Amino acid sequence: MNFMTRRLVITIITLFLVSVFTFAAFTIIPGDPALIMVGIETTEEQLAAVRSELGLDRSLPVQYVSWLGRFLTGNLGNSVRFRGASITDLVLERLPVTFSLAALSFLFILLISIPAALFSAPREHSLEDRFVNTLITINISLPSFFSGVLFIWVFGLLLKCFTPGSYVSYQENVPAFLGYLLFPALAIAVPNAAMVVKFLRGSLLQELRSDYVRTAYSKGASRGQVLYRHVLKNAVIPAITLLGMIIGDIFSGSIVIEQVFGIPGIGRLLIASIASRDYPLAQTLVVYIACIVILANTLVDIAIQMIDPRIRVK
Amino acid sequence: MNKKQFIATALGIALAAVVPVYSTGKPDASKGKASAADPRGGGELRFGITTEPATLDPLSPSNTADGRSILFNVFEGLVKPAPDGSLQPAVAESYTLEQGGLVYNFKLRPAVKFHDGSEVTPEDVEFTLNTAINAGFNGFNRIETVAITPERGIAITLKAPDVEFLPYLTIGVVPRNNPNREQNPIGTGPFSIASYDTQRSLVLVKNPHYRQQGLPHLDKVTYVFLADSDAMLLALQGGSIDSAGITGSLVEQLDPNRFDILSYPSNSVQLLALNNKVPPLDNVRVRQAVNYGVDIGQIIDTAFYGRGEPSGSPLIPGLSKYYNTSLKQPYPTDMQRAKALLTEAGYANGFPLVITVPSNYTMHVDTAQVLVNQLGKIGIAATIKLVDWATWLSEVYRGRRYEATIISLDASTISPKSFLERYQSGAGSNFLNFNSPRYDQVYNTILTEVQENNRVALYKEAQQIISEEAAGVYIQDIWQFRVFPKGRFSGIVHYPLYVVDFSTVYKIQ
Repeated sequence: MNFMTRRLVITIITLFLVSVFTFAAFTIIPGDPALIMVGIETTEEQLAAVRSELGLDRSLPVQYVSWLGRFLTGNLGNSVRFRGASITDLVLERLPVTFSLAALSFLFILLISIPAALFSAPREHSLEDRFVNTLITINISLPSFFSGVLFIWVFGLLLKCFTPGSYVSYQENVPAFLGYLLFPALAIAVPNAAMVVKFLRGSLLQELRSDYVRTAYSKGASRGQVLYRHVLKNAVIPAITLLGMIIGDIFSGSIVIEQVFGIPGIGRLLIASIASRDYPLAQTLVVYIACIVILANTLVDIAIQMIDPRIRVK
Repeated sequence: MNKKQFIATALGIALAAVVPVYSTGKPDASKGKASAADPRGGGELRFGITTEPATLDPLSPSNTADGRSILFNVFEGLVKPAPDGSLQPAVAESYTLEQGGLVYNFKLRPAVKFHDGSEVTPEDVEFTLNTAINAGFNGFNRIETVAITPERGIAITLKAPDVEFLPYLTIGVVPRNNPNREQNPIGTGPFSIASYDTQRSLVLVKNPHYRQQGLPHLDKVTYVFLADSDAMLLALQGGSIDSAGITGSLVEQLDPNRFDILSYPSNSVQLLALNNKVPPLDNVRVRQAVNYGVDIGQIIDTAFYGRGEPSGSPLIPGLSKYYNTSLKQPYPTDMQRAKALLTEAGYANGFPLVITVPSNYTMHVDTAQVLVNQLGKIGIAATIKLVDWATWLSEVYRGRRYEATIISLDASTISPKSFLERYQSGAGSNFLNFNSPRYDQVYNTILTEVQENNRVALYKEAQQIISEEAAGVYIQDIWQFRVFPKGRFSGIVHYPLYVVDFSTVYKIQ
């Protein structure tokens, strides 16, 4: 089997397992979506009526198979929590939001980490390098939900760069939409970028000690040439692998950040669906997120092969 | 035969609409008269809220408390709650009770219009009530028939006399020919729903056909859905919302120079509910000892910054007609007495107690921490178990698998019954497993007692029994706060119900 077919098969099996595990998790944790809907003041008959309306009176395997069938045919029906809205609409409306947030974060990670690493690595043990190192340590230990709150306080309330909670939909105004996403994206990017800097810096330092660097210098190459044409290319491969893994972190970071900044994305929908035990919606979202993470990692593998043809991903 | 006539005059409603609540803002609201030529018209209010409606259909029995609060502005029933806790005719003009509460006769108000401009007919009311019966609405199983009578009349006949049935008829009247009430909600209330965008906002716009002249004042009310109370606080401070209802701990973080902060009782009873079936809590002496061990004043001071209305009754003090004032503090803190009671019950060395608390309610978690400390002093080794709301509902509330829990109980309809019905031994909502034949007997008498005065006395007796038998520890009616930007809005009216009525709110020009 060639690379792509293998990948596809593995992806499908992974997604299937993810959906089974999600479903299993929901059957283990206590909580009844019908009860959450009807609340405290309710009668037995009302509860039974809501249960059968939601199809919760069926056995668990039947419920799972029914979801799977609807998922595969693309006809997912309505959400349990938001009864007026179809699951497909809810998800499709939010995918661009979370995708934009993730893409912006990723961009910020690259924009921060590569220059920072290239700046500090050749200056090992210097004052500048120590400064960068301290920043890295602080930022790695800063969880994104905290950096989020900090950003809102500093940039939103003190400096008034943006108004917290004044999210604008991409359907209304794209520049304003992206403008509101800047700080949340930065909040997700900062701890992850610190990680990439640390990694890339280490990898650059290792390469700088290699024989070929000395050879290059002895042939008369300048420091810039050595750094950009030789060292960076070699050092970047392990960093790209890390970037692939970070994509998962970006999504988990966005779940929290969307809550903090009031962005109606996939993450906020996922939290609402779990809190209300909206199985069909939560399961659909988890499978979508898993799908995106797997896809991103596949792209990373392809990128690595393109950069260094010696590496063959099997 | 008991006959009672209730005719609302325009004056009565106008007066009720401007009853001011404790306001730190300008006093001009109290002088206001709902004049026809309205200088207060127009403008938008953005109101932050953390939970969303489950449905926009008033005839769907399952809605969230915030959902009901939103729909209060969109739909009206035959009768409607008034700020003083009574019920006023709304879509109906008047009503009479016949045969000791067996038949309720209503006359519809002339020319009440739905949001789409069509007139409300008796057929619409009949359709509404029948749909509610079929949907299994709480209380509606008591209706035998709904009939249209001459001259825009509606007669509701119950299966058995019930003089306390009126509060159920606050259910929103809808047009009978609207096939999609969820997507296209149409009612007769002061506002109509212009749009609903899940997890973002719900927009109400002024209903030009509203039956009350001059109301509402605002053109638009936008509910903004926020993830949690922290996001709400930030949105208030940043100015992306104008107003919100918040709890005491958040009030501490707001600048009183920037905000008008109004405080009200939240109309819910916070209690330490004890599972009356689980030993040793099945022993009334143990439950009384727990009551004597708790210092309510200290709870309010430490966990609520001193803002709360202590109450020893399962009823809110706000329902002043029915509230048993002798229960303000039935169990003054008394360590000696608590220990003596425990010794009598055979627990001289105390016992372990697990308090299960829904983690989404910070105020209950804070209360639990104070309680653990207080109960420790009388030898009860209490521990806190945090669970999420969904777990609380299915394990504690439905499953009744718990020892003690802290929760606030509110009323779905404006009546003492709403607070007291759960204490009947056979009630499905009796999650405390309270079992008192004496109480059951008193409660059943209330339902058939036609004399108002006697009924009030019986309600007071019912509270007395619950207090004496110590179903739980009744702590307080928690205070809640509504904040507005300083000097910009006025006319807020408070109800003894979990609703925010926007019809009387106006922008200060």
